[in-house]
Amino acid sequence: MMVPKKWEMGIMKVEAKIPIKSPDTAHQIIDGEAVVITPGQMMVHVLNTVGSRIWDLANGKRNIQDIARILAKEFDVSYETALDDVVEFTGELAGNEIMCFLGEEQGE
Amino acid sequence: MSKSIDPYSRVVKKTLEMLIPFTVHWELTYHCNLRCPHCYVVPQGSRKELSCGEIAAILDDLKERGTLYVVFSGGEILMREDFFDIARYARKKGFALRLMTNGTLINGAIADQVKDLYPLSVEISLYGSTPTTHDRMTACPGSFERSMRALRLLGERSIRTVVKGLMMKQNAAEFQGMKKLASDIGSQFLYDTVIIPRMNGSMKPCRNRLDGEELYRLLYPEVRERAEDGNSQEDDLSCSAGLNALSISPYGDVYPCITFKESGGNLTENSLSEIQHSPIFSKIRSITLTDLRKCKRCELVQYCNRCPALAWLETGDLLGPSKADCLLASVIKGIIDSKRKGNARGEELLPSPKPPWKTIDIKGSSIM
Repeated sequence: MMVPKKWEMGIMKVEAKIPIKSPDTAHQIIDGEAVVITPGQMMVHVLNTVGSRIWDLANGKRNIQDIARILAKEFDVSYETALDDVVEFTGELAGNEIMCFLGEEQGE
Repeated sequence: MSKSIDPYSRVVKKTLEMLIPFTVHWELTYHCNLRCPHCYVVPQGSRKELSCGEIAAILDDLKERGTLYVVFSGGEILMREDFFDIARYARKKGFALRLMTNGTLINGAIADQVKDLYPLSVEISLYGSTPTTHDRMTACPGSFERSMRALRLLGERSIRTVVKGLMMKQNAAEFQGMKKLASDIGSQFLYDTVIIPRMNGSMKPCRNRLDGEELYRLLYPEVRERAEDGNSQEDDLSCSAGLNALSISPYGDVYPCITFKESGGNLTENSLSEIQHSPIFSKIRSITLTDLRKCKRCELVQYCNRCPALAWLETGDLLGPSKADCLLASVIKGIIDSKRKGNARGEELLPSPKPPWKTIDIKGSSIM
């Protein structure tokens, strides 16, 4: 996978980060709700509607800006509002090791 | 005021209502390196097991259909040379895996590969707390030591393990020893007392089932501990088979559950949707308490985990009682009643030499 130039420089704006699902998670979307299991912690998380959509879109290819643009359209909110939500949500999931950012995976 | 339920229970409720196969129990192979005489599996030698490619295609479909949990069992899963190709693909798709194995083929290198699958659990069957008992039950000398080695190797890698004890006449005396063994090795201990008939209808394995007195002695401390102030189980005899759970055979046959071997179709010929709406799936889903002529009037209903498949295997009647479940419920009721009486008198009642269960006669049942 091509590494963005910003990574090479060691500087990464949060909006350019690419969120991906942590590899140890198990997950499924049921009627729009994401169920995420972290086997190491034996925890089940059920994400809300917006969170579930972010989870679904976090495929390791889209960056936070890409996801925010899609959310802004789908949920009829401003890009800035969507961006704030995505930054906060992905950061929270990363803090719980449910999600990580490309290039910042565990063990790297 | 409506009763609020937690988000996960709400999702599970949706899977039941929407017929989403949330949990799939997949027997990947019927080949096994042990020869347990109580095993229900009857290999169908002439039939071809699904290939890795066919399994991957089915996993793709299951992902689309909403499956989260996949239980891989056998036979012995590690008898398939492509087991890790299948399991890695399942993990790549995001399924939560439970692996059921006898553990005898697990060495350090295999344990490393298992760790990379991030399984929810690896579940290993033990049939005794000593090599003599266990190896006699598996008809395979050395199997106890190898299963124990697997538990240690997996534990060293922080993989959650479960020791599963099938309790029967031959090993009932070692029940507490098995619990301690599991605890000492850092495993959860789960046990079952119901031996199911063979897939071909033979009741031979059921000869090893514990009788009422043996069950009472085995379960007394367990049930007594759990039953705080009585049994909180609701009068609910429902079953998730065919609703949000199903089972797949090594050949692609799809059953409502692992015990109920009446196929709704084969995934090499039918779509999952067709199978879920097949007569057998529709029939098992349609069963309500009202249909259970004997069970609905039974005083044991609140102590019973009735399994329709077991009733069908024992008597051929999906709607009738299961002799094994009736006995178990009766024994549990007896223990709870005994505790209540003891509490009322402010004393501890020891297991009665004549346990207060009753034998329920089931017309047409035959344990050969």
